[in-house]
Amino acid sequence: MKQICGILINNKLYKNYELYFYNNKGGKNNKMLFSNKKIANFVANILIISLGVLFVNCSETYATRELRETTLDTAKRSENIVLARCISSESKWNDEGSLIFTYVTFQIEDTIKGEDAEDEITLRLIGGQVGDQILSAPDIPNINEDEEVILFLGPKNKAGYPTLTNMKNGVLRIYTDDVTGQGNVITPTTGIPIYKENSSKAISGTQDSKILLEDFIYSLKEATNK
Amino acid sequence: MNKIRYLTICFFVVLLIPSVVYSYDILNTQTPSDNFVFFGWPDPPIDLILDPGTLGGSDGRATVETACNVWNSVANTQQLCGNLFAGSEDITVDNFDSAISMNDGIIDVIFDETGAIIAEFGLSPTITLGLSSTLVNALTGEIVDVLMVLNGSLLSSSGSDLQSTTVHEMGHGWGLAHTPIGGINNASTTIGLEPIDPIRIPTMFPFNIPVNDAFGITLEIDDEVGISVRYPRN
Repeated sequence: MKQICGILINNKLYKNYELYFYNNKGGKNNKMLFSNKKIANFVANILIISLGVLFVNCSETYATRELRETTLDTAKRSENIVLARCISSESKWNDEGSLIFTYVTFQIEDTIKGEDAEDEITLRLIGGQVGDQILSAPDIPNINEDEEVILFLGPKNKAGYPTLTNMKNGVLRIYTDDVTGQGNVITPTTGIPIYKENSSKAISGTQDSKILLEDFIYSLKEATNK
Repeated sequence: MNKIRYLTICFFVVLLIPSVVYSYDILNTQTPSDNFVFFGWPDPPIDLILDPGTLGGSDGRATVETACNVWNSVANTQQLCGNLFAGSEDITVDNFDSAISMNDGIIDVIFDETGAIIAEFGLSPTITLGLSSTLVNALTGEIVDVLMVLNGSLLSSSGSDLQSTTVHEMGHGWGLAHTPIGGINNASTTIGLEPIDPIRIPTMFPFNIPVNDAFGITLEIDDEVGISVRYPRN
């Protein structure tokens, strides 16, 4: 219960829910509203967040073990960090018929760290689904076509494909706000002091919730150039 | 009166939910008909074929045998680990794609001495301790084969224990997923319970245990319940 309450306190998205129940008293539907809005919000939040956690928990196929590190450490170890948009993803068996690989191709929109690379980049990651067969993949987020992400990349492997520096920290999701049209980094990050773009004033010590994309990129450049 | 009744119902729903969320998990996928199927071997015990190369500079067979004993010792659970066989050729970055067989129902264990095979899979060998890739029938969840890769190049790195990693990856080989229990520091973005005693962190937690990674060699109650539910003895 303590953990659930902790999540609720940090949750700013669902603050104004009201909870309605219906009964059929007197042969007609009556809408009942909890008079205590705090209780209504609490119950609604519990149900919404619980459903969310259950969905997060669904379709679990990840299977690796790794060392812990902060996003800042991941950034420092990366040879290249790029802002990129996924343009295609295809899973197929290798020529030997022994493994399924997924090839994810990105269009590079901005280079945050490292030398400007090609316009496009393709990652080859083990795992994927071909027909009725699934080869479970490591702990890498599923990236959808047209999704914009920040990629932390290491050296190329023998086959010539770049590696992800970190499975969890190595792909940061970006969400575009429908109202403002601005991009926000929504994957939690750790260890990177966040500044407003072109400002020396830190917003927070470390970032653990969504933040404007341009502020994050500026902060990432500041942190990795030190 | 109705408000009290509804509040009471909600209260009990809330009480039930945490017990669903915070526990072991079993690898699973969603079928085209929107059902969820859970991964598992249809008929254990399962044999393993071991890379004849070295692991961390020494014979990796003993490490795998110990992991087998750990999983085979869980009460009220079927024997999962069968015979261990030695492969015919050292598996390296030059031959891994032709040397392994993913359709024979025998778990392939690769000792990735340099981390180069992990890099071929698109991952960083400086942080990935090991991985298990499970080939399953997407409609039934039945495990067809498993590839288990252990990174021998991180043996000297601080805070990691190869034996713990082997037990962990073997857990994936049986179909167990990661547990959220054990989120003990801010570097982890994984949802977890309140900080717990490191010695109590389940083996199936996805990260090493910096205080003493050898704590991961023994299973915790969360691991044992997960495996015994998936493979009950009777």
